[in-house]
Amino acid sequence: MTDLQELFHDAVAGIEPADRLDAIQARTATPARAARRWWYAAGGVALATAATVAVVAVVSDDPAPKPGHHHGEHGMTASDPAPATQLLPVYFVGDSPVGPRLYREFDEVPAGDPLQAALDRLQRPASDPDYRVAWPDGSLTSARLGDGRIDVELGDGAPDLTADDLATQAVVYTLQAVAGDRRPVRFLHHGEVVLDDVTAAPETEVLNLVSISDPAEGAAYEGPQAMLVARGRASSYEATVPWEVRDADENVVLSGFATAEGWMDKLYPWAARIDVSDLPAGSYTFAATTSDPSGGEGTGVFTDTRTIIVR
Amino acid sequence: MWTADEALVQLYAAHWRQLVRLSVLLVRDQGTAEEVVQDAFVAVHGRWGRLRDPDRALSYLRQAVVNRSRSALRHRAVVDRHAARRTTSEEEPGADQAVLAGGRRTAVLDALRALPDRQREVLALRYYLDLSEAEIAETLGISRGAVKSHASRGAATLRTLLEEEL
Repeated sequence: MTDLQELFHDAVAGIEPADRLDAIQARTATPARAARRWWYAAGGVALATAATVAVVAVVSDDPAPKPGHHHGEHGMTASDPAPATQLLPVYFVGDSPVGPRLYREFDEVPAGDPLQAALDRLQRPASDPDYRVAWPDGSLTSARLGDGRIDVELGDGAPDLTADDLATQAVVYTLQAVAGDRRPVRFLHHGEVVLDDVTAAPETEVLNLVSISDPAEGAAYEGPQAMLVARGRASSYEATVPWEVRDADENVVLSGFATAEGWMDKLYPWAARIDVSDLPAGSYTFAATTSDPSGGEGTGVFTDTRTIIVR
Repeated sequence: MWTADEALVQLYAAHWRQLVRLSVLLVRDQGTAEEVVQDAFVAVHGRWGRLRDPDRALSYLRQAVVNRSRSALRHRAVVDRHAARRTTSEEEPGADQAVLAGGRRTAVLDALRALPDRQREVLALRYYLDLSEAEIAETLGISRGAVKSHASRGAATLRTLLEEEL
């Protein structure tokens, strides 16, 4: 952190603005607004973009977005128009040139205790069809913040575990990310300790070396200024993160590269803004990879992909 | 896909506080900052049909906050000049209060007020929101070269003004 960064943050750290959501909603309310819990209608867990993950990915904060009040005309009293959901980072298993690795996606789940919600999400299919679930349904029963650690109670269907297992690390990475805290995870079964205080293994050893946070699987783009904003993390040779957009026939229609903030010791953020307004409507694959300086002699490139839609 | 109402709640939960703080860096007064950011949220709700994407909505919000903060400053400058003409004998509140209150926080906000608008905006986006040069250029609608020069000039002035604090 630079001196100026510190000064700027300090200068306004004490500013706690009044809550004006009600006032804003009073100005934006329309009388005929459908107040459905839309994610149930959509068939369970929906996927959303990672942009708002900061809202909920911290256990100590109130996980539920403030429910809005309806200020409609005609005396309508439809209640709870706000979707009670939260966006959580969840790690699943996928393939890589060096064997299975963890991939992260941001999933929107119903509001509630974030640790418990993350645990539930770990036991259901990933939104990205390339990823697999490491934990059969019922194998993880509960999670709670304990004294300097996170305690996870295993169900009867849980596999035998070691601290290095990717499945174990999927839980550790997910819960630490949700908790916003690197405290270790203890695994218990019927109250007996199965694995004590497991810490996160180094990123470069368990994560796929490139990951896409945005776009979310199935994100749609439309209009003359349609801009695909891609973000993710990577550890790639010289911090170069090549990306491409492929059409349904796997032809590369757009390509370029992003530069991550670093490489080697861990995964660093990268971002790219891609103008997709000239693409014909259809389904495309967005792929981000690591760069391969060996020209194919090395272990190969790591890849993460998302399906995107251009309308 | 969120509706405009859903997007509003999500964006508010994620960014309300940070955007008010950003606006405080630009306009200094918290009440003004809250008004500015409230207007920006109303505006983003109205545009959601075209934005349809939280990322684009956030950059639109930032842009709206910066532009509206600048307008608020202009408006206030006019009002202040007006007031100054009518109450010649009264002391200027800003400077005196700053001296009395002292402290690093006030010093930073004062120093920011001493900068030209663009420099102040570039510095706030860079050092408070941690935006990249390209993102700042896009937010302010200026070239990356201009961002660079505003940033270096602004930072140099600020460091001089804040010598004791750094």
